[in-house]
Amino acid sequence: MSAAHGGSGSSSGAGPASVGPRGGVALDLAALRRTKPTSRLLRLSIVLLGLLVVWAWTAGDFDFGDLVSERRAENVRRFLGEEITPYPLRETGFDQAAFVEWAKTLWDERGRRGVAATLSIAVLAIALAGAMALLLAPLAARNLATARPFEFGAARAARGPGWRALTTAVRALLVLLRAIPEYVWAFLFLAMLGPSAWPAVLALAIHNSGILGKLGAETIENLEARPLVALRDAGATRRGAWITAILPLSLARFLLYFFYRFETCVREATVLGMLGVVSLGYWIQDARSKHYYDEMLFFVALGAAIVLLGDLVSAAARAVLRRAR
Amino acid sequence: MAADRDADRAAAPRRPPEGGSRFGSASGRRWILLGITLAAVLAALTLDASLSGLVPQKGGTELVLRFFARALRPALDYESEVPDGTAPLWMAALAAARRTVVFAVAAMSLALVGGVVLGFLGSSAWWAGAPRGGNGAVQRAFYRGFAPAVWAAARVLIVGMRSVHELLWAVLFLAAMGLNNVTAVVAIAIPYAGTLGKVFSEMIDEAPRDAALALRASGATNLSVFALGLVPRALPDMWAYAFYRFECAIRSSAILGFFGFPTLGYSISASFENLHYGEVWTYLYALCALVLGVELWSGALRRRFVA
Amino acid sequence: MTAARRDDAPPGAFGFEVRRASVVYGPRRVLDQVDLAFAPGEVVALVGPSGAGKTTLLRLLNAALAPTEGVVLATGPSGAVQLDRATPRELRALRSRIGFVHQDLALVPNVRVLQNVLHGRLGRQGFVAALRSSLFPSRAEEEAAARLLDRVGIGEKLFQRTDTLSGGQRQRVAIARALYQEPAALLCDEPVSSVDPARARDTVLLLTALAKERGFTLVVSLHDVRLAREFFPRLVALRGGSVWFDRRTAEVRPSELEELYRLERVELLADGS
Repeated sequence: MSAAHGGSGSSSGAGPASVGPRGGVALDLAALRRTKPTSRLLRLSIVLLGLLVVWAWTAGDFDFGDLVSERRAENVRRFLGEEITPYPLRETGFDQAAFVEWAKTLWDERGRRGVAATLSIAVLAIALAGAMALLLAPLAARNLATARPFEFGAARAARGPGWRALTTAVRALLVLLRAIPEYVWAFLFLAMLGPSAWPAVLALAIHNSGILGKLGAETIENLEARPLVALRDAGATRRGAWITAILPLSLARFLLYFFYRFETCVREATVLGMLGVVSLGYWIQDARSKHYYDEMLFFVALGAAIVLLGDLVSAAARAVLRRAR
Repeated sequence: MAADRDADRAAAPRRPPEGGSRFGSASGRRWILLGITLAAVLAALTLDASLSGLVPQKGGTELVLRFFARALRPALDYESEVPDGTAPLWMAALAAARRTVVFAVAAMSLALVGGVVLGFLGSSAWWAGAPRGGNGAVQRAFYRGFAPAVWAAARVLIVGMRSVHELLWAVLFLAAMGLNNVTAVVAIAIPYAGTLGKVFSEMIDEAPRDAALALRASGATNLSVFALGLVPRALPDMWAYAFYRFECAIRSSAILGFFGFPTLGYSISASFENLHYGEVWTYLYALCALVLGVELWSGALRRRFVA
Repeated sequence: MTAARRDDAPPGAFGFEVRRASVVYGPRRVLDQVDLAFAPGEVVALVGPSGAGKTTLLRLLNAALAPTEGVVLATGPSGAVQLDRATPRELRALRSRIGFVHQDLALVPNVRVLQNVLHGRLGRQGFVAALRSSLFPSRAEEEAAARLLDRVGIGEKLFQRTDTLSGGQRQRVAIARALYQEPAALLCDEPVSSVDPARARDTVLLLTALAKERGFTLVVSLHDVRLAREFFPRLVALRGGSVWFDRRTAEVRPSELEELYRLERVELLADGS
């Protein structure tokens, strides 16, 4: 690389520390190198992440020998060769009519209901989450939850202890809501409420209101202050400003997040059924426990299809929003 | 999921809204709100979700109260007799948390490799390298036929991997192979690689191209232009998003415990079924601490590099 | 690697020849039948109102753009190359010797100044070598970049992140990157449009001094006619996509320049109504 230098083949330690350009002012490269701005945090993080990866793979939690053992291979062979073949086709080989018949029966008996339930759970949950987040977000936004909203600098720092406690408490609540996975929430609610769609709906709604509340608060905090200060100075009350200005201003962005989270809700609603709620996941779990892996695969594929559907709906809605903006 | 990625950008100063739509004159938005309301009502009807379903079942109220009463009083020791020689609860929690991290890190290391490859191949910028001037026939054939094919294959792969939830991948692997920790890692890694690929490709395609064009104008090869002119501009966003997914991976890894893998979810479900609610909260707080730790770490990095 | 390049760098500067070149975007003729020649080592300013086609002409010269009609030739010591007929390999070799300072500078903001300067050599590096020198710059590369940065007056910024620099300093980085190409020709598109007048003068002085010192051809588009008159021996005025005049600076009458921009004012008024 630096073969240009007569004898010094390696790049380290080659050349004098100080370079004399045009023979004039000497630029002290070594001094520059010493004062090179580096981020210890970034370097440390990279090293730490590298070590974490090495440690994770070598800590002894993974048995690769077992993974490639004859028993596992036999399992996979049976699974792929036999178990996932639709039941009526196992003897006869592929027969389109029989396959369609099989799929149609599954769809009519369980699939349709499962799909409808999954989508409904997702829609109801995200609507509830959105409503809850709209209530929580203004309380968590530091520029709004204060005696004189939309002041910056010194005035902003001088928020009263009451307001400060309120935002802190709301923010802590939001952290708790979103840090606990929806699956765990659903597990808990199921034990309390018994089997209905509500545990899944509530679990998704709670987890997502934590996320949407945080994102909504950030959106409000990032609002441009000037028009809002003007509004306040014109005598608008806090609630008046919220309804006439802040909500409309931040709604477009909030709705973008809303639809991103809706995609996630569709994914999760499928899976939450595995706990015993009648969404697609229920039928997946049902087929799994009976070792009807052909049916299980059918419902997993159905789940993938409605996830795609959810993504398309969300993308379309976001396109409308972007155009409206 | 992609929402948080936008949240990263929300930190940047917003453009002032354009005059006309300042106070919500956009009718599209009104229709969407109406649509959401209607859809929610329809969903409630479909689910037959009456409010009576919200009344806790027999014993449910008591269970709720007892459960949440322990929220402020997580268990410091096991709530029932354990055989001699069992490690204390805090060590059990720590061990489960450690395994949760191990699974998440291993999964993310695979997902990142897959996500970067898919993100590059699935971005249009990767293929935008056709040099101007008299191309050779081979090159032309490459850019007209091969490139769109690989691009399309990458997009299809991204969609396919993403549209099956990690728990369903886990269930499929369980059915196919039986319980092995590596399958849990792979189950998380597949959809995560797809999601990372999707988001990375968007970030790369949205990155400003001025520097890349300048490098191309000075004769740089396509690969150099991509790697040195374009990727560095998207890199802070990619970092931040990967960290966010790491946080998600910890949650996913914990949940896989409900399916028999030895992560926090396993301990949570076991304690819950034994009605040891204090222990449940201990494990839940361990999970919260992990998630919060990653969030703080990534927040510190982001403040340093994206600001 | 850097030190070795000094010796094998071709000695000659590039000349350019533009023959009846037009560039048409839809209904707009951005350049119309332009005939121009720049001799190797010549120092020329392109003046004219905005929208006159200066940027387009510069982009023709480094083959970022192909003329809709006409021919653009680059003449080096090894003969003339017609830009729109060149093979990718020829084109790459050519471009690696043509420095271009973009109006918006087109630097990578979130890497060090050093990396941005080293990017100047990408045209002569394979991908692996490029990646290596970007991630692990050799001492020789650091020294070469430091020397160039020192020459343009910001040597001490070598290891700073590029986006921590001021606009004027970033412009110096862009110039240093172009110099690191060891250019046979340097094209600058409105290099002083975003800096204050005092700095603008310094920058133009620097560019012309570098051209003299290193013997490359320099073509600079400038909005500021006073600077053009002061530092450039030849002025090419463009207006509405055509050459308005092309003269030795000494022969340009002030009234001609006044007219060049008076017409712009008239046009602006006409557009505004």
